[in-house]
Amino acid sequence: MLEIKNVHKAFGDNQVLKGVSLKVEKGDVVAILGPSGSGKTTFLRSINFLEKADKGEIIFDDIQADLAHATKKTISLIRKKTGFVFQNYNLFNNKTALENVTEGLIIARKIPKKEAIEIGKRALDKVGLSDRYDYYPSQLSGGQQQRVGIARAIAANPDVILFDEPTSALDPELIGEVLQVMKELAKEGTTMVVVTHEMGFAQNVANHVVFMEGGIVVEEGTPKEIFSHPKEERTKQFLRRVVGYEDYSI
Amino acid sequence: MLDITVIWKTLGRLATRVPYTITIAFVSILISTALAILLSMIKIKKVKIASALVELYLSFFRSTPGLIHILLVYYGLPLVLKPFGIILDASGKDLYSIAALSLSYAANLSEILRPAYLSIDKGQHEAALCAGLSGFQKEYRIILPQVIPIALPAMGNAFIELIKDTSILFVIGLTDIMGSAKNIITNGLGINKVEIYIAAGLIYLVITTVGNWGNHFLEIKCQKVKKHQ
Repeated sequence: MLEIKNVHKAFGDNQVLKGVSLKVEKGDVVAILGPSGSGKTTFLRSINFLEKADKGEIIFDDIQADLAHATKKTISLIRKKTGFVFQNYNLFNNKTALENVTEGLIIARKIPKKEAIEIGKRALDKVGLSDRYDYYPSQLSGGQQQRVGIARAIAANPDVILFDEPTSALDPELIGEVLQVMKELAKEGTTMVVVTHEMGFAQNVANHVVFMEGGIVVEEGTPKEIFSHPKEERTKQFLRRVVGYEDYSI
Repeated sequence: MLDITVIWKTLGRLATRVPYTITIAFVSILISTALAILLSMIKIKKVKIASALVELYLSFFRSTPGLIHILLVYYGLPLVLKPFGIILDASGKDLYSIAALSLSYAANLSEILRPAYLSIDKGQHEAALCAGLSGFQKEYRIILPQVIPIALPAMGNAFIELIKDTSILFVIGLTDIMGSAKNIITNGLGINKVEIYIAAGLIYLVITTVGNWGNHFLEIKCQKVKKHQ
């Protein structure tokens, strides 16, 4: 369904991505793990052109495009086929929760307003915010804001939803509510690519795990392969570190 | 001693020039705002060559006095336009005044608008693009509604400054409030100068006080909107 090939990206002299590829099938939940600075967020952002790759190719159903030289029209097409959930939520500050969800539907997708409001309410109900339609982002907790962010991403029924560390900015006690929503989406067969530090999510919800470090994919496979039988020494080291940290926190 | 009756009589005469003065100020406000939006957009989008020219324009108009702008426009504009076959005569003083004020204040206003625009988080832009909005829709629906409450109070202050600055337009012979005060003095062979200037001052005081009220009201409104944001 979605294939990204050989993505390269440098910020100045800093080569962040050195040929990263990823294949996503319909219904996949892909978790991308790795230490900070490994390029996982940059890779995710280059899929919908928030970051312009220096080199790379994307094949998305019948669309085929060069990540470095895509036309405005192709970019817009791919963006409409993807949802994006940000680390810092990035809700529109001047819009209510419901307006945040309906904005893209009404303005970009030209869905009639009445219908869009119905869709928007359903999306917010789904993330457990049926009593927060008319609240502004500043009136919501971080967890609630992120759930609006997810509702905004799923409302247009995109083919894939990209999550950029969706729980990293949250207080620990609010992480659960967001992960719960994501777990439910996964259960319904939503195609998701998730950059995350939540090992539990990667292990229990994802069906494909990618470990990145230093701008390359070090190892990928099923959660079982990665967590129980990692082949690469770097993967082992990383897991020892993060799992060790979790043990310590418990 | 001050002659109160002269002040009172002069107030009546000068008040008749208020609509004319306000019209000049108002048209200048509209044009300078439009121009400021254009200037700040060129700088924000870093348009090649154009942004260098804008930089030059801003540094000139922001570091020279308004009086110079007025005199340069009045004496200079006909010279600049002559090679293009446009012959200006010296009679359209209101047009020169509007041109001078607009050019002068566009520079100030653009330096209010630009930082206000840049203060909006990058994530707001990205989220709008991810929602499928076009560049224009993004600006119009998401970014500008957040920029306006930030910029408006400072712009209101600039507008009040602009209204006060109309008082130097008499140097090119505009008969606004100040210009007609000058005329009254000349016609009266220079007597009662102080009374006449006091009257002119009072008229400006009333206008700017109303302006300040308006601005204060606007500021409260903006604060309310910003509380959400």
